Amino acid sequence: MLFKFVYSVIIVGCSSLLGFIFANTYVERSKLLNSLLSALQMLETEIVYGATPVPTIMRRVGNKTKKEIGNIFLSAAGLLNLNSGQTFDEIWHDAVIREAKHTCLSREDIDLLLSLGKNLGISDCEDQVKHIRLIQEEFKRHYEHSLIEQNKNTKLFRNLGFLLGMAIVIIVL
Amino acid sequence: MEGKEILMDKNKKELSVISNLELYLCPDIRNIIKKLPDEFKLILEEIRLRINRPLMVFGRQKDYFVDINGCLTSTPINSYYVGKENIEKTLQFVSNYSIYSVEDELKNGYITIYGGHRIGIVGKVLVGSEGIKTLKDFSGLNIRVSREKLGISTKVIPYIFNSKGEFLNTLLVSPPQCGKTTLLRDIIRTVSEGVPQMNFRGLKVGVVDERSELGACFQGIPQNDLGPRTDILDCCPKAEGMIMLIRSMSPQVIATDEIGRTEDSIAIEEAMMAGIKLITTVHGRSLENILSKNIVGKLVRDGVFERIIFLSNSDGVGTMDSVVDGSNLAYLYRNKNYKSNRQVV
Repeated sequence: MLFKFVYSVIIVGCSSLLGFIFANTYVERSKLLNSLLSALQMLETEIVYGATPVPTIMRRVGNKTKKEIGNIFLSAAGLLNLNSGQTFDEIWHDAVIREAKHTCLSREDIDLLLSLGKNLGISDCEDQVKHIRLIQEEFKRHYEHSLIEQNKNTKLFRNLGFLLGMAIVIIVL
Repeated sequence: MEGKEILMDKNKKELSVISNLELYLCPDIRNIIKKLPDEFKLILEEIRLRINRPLMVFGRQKDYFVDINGCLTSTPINSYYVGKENIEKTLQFVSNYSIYSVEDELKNGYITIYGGHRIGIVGKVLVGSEGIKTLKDFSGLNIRVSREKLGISTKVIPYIFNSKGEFLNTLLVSPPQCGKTTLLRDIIRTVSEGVPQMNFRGLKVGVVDERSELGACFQGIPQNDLGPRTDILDCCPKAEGMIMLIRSMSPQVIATDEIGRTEDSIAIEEAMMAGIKLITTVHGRSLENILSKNIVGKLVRDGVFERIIFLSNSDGVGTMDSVVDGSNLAYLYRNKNYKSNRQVV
């Protein structure tokens, strides 16, 4: 009887934890998108007011932003300093693919982030601002959408984890 | 033996200049330039990238086509053809991946990079209400190798000081690509450092570097050694710059490149009144040639310049052809080739 009780607790605990972890990805994604938005704002400010070169911006933004997002920028800064002959687009692509897989960003978020590399640094200031604002607008939409999903799914997955555990306990034991 | 070692060290230094410059080229062209013979790298002056045209290099007054193995030829057969992508990629590296940060330089048509090398750029010009706005659709790059020739002013120095050791107002005259700016740079360094052998202590020099050629400042740091007593106004219009320096930095000598506009002569007059000495350059071939010029001709006739030095490349870049005493237009020195040069001109 005691064993059954212990098993039940373990099963319910594990499945609740899984539910929590799954629910947390929604919360985490919203947080990341929010810090990405502020990173893009910093990027725009550095370009417009400082005409700062891209490698320096990458380093500065990387150090000031939430770790997961900051790592993408810092990784790009590191690759830029190697003078390997790669274009910024190629370097940004490598950095995003390498770092973003450790985050909760969705495929669409990553694709949007990759598109930043296609235009950053290759035109005059006015043009750069237009490109960054366009991407910012897209990310804002992603962020709003992620908040709706977060509200909708967080509670659902948390409860679902617990209930699934209970269901297994009732059926199996 | 020691001389050979010094020469090898010098060559090594010259080759490292080119290998640092290679990092600014796109990988395809970087690999080709890497394969150029070392002897040519030592005299390489320009790398020219023109869209859909063969890659060319220029050195010792001759240009060559280059094939994929870095071999130099005089015909474009088998040579490497430069594409749009080569130019765009190279421009990314040259601008440190940030075209927007070099917008002002683009308006002038060139970018100065680390090491003082200058990249000339052509393409489609966009004109706004205030003149040239920017360049886009880039179609050609001219990568000019900058080499500091320390000590080339040794021959000139005795002529630009009088017997009391005072600096004399000097004008350097030569056709383009004959080493005017390189010589001016070395004179500035020497005047600023001083010449202990001649018992000359060195003077405060103010440099108005309108085209960023003398100091070759990169992010505010001069890439060329212009001496310890030198203040540089980078990218500043000459006339305004000279007046700014007179008021702010109390220079004893003002150095500037390529004068010729009316406002320049007004600024020169102001400098003269303040008792400041002047060294500058002008495009020209002979005394008659510069006397016929509007502004410079008048300055020479008025005896503003106490020494006029003519340069040519008759015996290598920066050959001193003749030195004229500005007060009576008499020759103080003439190179043995001088006469024949004038006939060619």
